[in-house]
Amino acid sequence: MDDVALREIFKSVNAATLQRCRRVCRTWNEEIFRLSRYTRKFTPSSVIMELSKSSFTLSMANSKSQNCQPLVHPQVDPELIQRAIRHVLPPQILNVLLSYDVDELAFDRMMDGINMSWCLEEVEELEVSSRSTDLKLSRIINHLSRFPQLDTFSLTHFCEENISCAEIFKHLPKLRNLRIFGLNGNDGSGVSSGLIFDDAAVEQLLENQKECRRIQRIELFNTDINVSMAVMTKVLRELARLPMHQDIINKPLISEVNTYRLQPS
Amino acid sequence: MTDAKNERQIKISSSDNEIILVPRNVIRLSTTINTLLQDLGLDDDEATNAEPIPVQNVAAPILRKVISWCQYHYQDPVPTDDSDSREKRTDDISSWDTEFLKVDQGTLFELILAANYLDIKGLLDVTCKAVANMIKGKSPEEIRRTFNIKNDFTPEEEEQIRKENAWCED
Repeated sequence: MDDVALREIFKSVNAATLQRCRRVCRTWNEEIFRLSRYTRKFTPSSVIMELSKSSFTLSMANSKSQNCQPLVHPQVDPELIQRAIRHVLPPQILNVLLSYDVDELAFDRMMDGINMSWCLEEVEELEVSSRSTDLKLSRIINHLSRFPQLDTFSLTHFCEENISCAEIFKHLPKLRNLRIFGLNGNDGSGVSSGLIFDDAAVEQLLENQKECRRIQRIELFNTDINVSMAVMTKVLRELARLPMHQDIINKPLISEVNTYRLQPS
Repeated sequence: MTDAKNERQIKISSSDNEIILVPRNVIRLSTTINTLLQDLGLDDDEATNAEPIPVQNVAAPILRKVISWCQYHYQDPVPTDDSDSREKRTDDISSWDTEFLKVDQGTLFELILAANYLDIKGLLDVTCKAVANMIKGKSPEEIRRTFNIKNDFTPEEEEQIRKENAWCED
């Protein structure tokens, strides 16, 4: 049977049947793999990737996840990730949880496994929680350019470098919500030992607001703030003059929608 | 419903050289033949289609089945193109089509190939839905038995594929 006929047949079956079809024979598996652009049927709204030195875990994070067995592998393998997510529509929320023993190589390999179309098309909320001191924050930030559609970014980190939050804003021009939690000890000396919210950050933030204001909320926990009064006043004044982007009114954040749904009627 | 038989007839020859006459409006459902007629300048009412149009990949019995499907459906609304990945309904096959598709498996697959070759979207849809209904709910082994397919996976490979998607199957 040729690929068009197979594609039409595979489009007509549900996700679970499609996966059983993959196990029928090599030809079918290869065709489903090749046609996955047309046969992606699993629709998790939220996906979790957990990485440690000795294991990689891929799981769903929604009401269906209790019925599913997470994919666990002794080490991170980009090809395995690519195969596992090949038949899955891009989620809106991606959670990346990195253990204390994750190094840069393992993190890069995991990110290499994520299909670019996933990042570019749909992921709107990204949460990265890194407990590793071996993984430089700049490495994490470099990967943010894969997610140009992000409107919410949540970062929990150990940071041993001096980095301005401007680096985050440079990669995420459509950002509406930013939440940063620093795990570094803060000695209260006022001298930055990591990620810093400074003049460059607010200036980049202002540059991102093209003719209208997208940014809604910035939450900084255990993060150094070093913005001069003059720059802050200038940026706030200009931000206040910009009209709101229509997404702020018409497109509630996914987490807000979920919170609303969870409220008792 | 207009009488298709009173309209201009087009000659089509099957792969086994049988010539079949089909009303122009009926064969309009085939994008392949439609395009061919237009490209060859044979689509005017005055044009004479002395030479039959060869349909190399379809044998006469299947071609006749295809034409009988077109004769019943030629006045249906044009189906929309759905290139997305959403699951299609398969429980909406009309009773006429259900009767039409009561054929052996070989014929059903020949009809799919013919519908694909002749680019008849409605027929391709309904035949693929019929096959999808045969697959739904079956285990890989049952599917192999249904379609007489040899399992060329090692048990390890099959298990690997099962694992790859167990994380998101509900």
